[in-house]
Amino acid sequence: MAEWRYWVIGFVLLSGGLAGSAQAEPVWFSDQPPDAEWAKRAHHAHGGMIERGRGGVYVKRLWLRAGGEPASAVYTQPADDASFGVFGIDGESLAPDLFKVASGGGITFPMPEEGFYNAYFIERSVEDAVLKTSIVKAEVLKHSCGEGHDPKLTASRMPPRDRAGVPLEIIRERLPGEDFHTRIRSGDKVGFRVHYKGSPAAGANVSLTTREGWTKQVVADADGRAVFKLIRDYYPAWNDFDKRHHEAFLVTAEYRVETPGELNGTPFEKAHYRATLPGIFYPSEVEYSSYLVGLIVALIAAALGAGGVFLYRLKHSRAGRERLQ
Amino acid sequence: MKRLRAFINGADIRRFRFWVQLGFFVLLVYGGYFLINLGQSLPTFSCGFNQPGRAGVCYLLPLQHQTHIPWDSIISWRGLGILTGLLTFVAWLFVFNKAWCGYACPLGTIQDWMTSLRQKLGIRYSTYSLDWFTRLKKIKYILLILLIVIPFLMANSVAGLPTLPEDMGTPFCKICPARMVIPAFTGDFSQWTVDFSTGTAATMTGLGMLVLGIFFIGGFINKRFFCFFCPMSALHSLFSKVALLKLRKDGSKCTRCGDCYRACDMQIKEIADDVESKTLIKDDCMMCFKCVASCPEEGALKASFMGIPIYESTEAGFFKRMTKRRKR
Repeated sequence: MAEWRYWVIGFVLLSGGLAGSAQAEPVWFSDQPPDAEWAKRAHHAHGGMIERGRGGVYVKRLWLRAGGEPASAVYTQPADDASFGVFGIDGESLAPDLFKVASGGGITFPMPEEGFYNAYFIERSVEDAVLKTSIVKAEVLKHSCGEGHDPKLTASRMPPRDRAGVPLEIIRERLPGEDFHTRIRSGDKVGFRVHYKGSPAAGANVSLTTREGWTKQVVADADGRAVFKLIRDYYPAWNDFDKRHHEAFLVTAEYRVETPGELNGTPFEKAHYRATLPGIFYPSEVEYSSYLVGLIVALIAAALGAGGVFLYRLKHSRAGRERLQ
Repeated sequence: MKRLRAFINGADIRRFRFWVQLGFFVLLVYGGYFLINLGQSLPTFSCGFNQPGRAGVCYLLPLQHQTHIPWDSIISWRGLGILTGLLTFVAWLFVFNKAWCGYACPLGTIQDWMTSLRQKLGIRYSTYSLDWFTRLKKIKYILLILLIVIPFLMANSVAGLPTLPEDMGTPFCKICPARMVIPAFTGDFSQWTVDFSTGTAATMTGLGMLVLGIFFIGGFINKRFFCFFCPMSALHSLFSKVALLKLRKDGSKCTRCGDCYRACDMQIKEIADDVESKTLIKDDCMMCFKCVASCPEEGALKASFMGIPIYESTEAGFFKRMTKRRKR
């Protein structure tokens, strides 16, 4: 159904021309600058690093990185004929800019409105009669507390979106009650859906790799779902602990279909799709906060307060004074 | 019209206030569940940490976020954000003045419920000596200055000194008992913890739990204990003179009997002593109008809105209320 949509969106995504070759290593988007020079331009915001454009509009810069482990993945540059696209809050197509610098490359785009933006970068090639397609995706949040916290607006902009025309797509499911301020934390169970041309990709191999290289692989169920429990991946010295530490994860989905076809006149017999979606998570609150100590502090304060009042009243009442003498 | 006025002036302000406070409590603590959103510049403790129950956000929370701003950004769209927030706050205050404290504040309502519990248990309340009262009332201004200056010093280095640590962000919220108490009414106790992630966070959250313990005892034995120290009250007082709702006094009718002072939960002595001023809104006043209800002198005290009296002291009203109370 609606096969035409794949053509229309495909045109938008592939308007830069089809890429030379899909890389052997998974390629993914990162908003972490490659060096100190680029880090100076970036600011922390809800949803990750941003730059400020004209009039204070947030501008997102996504760098391409190659490598299965976030900690060791290298910054890479997009091919000249790469295809890419960004879709805004209402699914409208935005026009990102491709950039290439000595330390890497990627895309930049403005984020004028609150909500999630989906960015894609697609490479295709035919090798040994196999169509290899790498679909790099990032789901980017734009939120500024200065623009308010209208619950209706937030609720309307929380549901995840997929994109017709993207052959294989990973969609992160929202946590219960998630809003623009929700942080995914170690210990949380996070669900992903994998869609092949808009339908669940049952049987797709899905893996989640943390920054330090811990990996778990699962097979997507009949609904294309894969669920991972995020493990703790942050072990600093106790005095270096940072509750705002970004722990990174990379979700990779691989899917194979036996569909012959051709790409730019080169025939292929099967197709191999690989999609990536990065994310961040934070240390669990139970790692650094204590109810017990909190209650002890409050109870001691209350007991001292009550005792002080009792003694003061005793001292200042006639009967009390007599008793104290 | 005369009969309507007599009815209003003879009304039991305590009962009226109880129901209005309950209504505001439900609105501000649970309104978010009905997607009610009154914005983020409310001049009352609609706690921003009470998610998703809050129906708006106490202005002090965004103010602390907004003042976390580098010098060079003040004359920019961010500076405009501070100005817009302040103007919205003043607009809310312009209508109801400090009655936001006496009738709408959920934390104030909780303290009034604690006072009722104490009365039911037959435990007498405490008051401050005049000397202590004068000293303690300055604390709210100090807190107001700190909650603006600390976020600013987190974003700016002054005289080459290092900036303050990020964990001091929203410093007043860290020690405000509303952060712990109000979400608890929606079953959320997540703020009742000490955060050990850094020394600063541990100090601030530990201080918050310490204040919570003191709040429970203080609120139980002292009427509106926390309101003496509330920086929101200090911020109100900067703009309260221009508001539409006013408490007026006709000094020529005042006999200085002191009934109004005895009724005042905030121990404002000027309400009885000052026979010169036409308008009596002191920085601690929460405009509960219990003073008006307790005054036996015809027209000596009145609440007025845009200059129109809406509730005033009458002899008939006074005796009606006294008779009712004796029967109870």
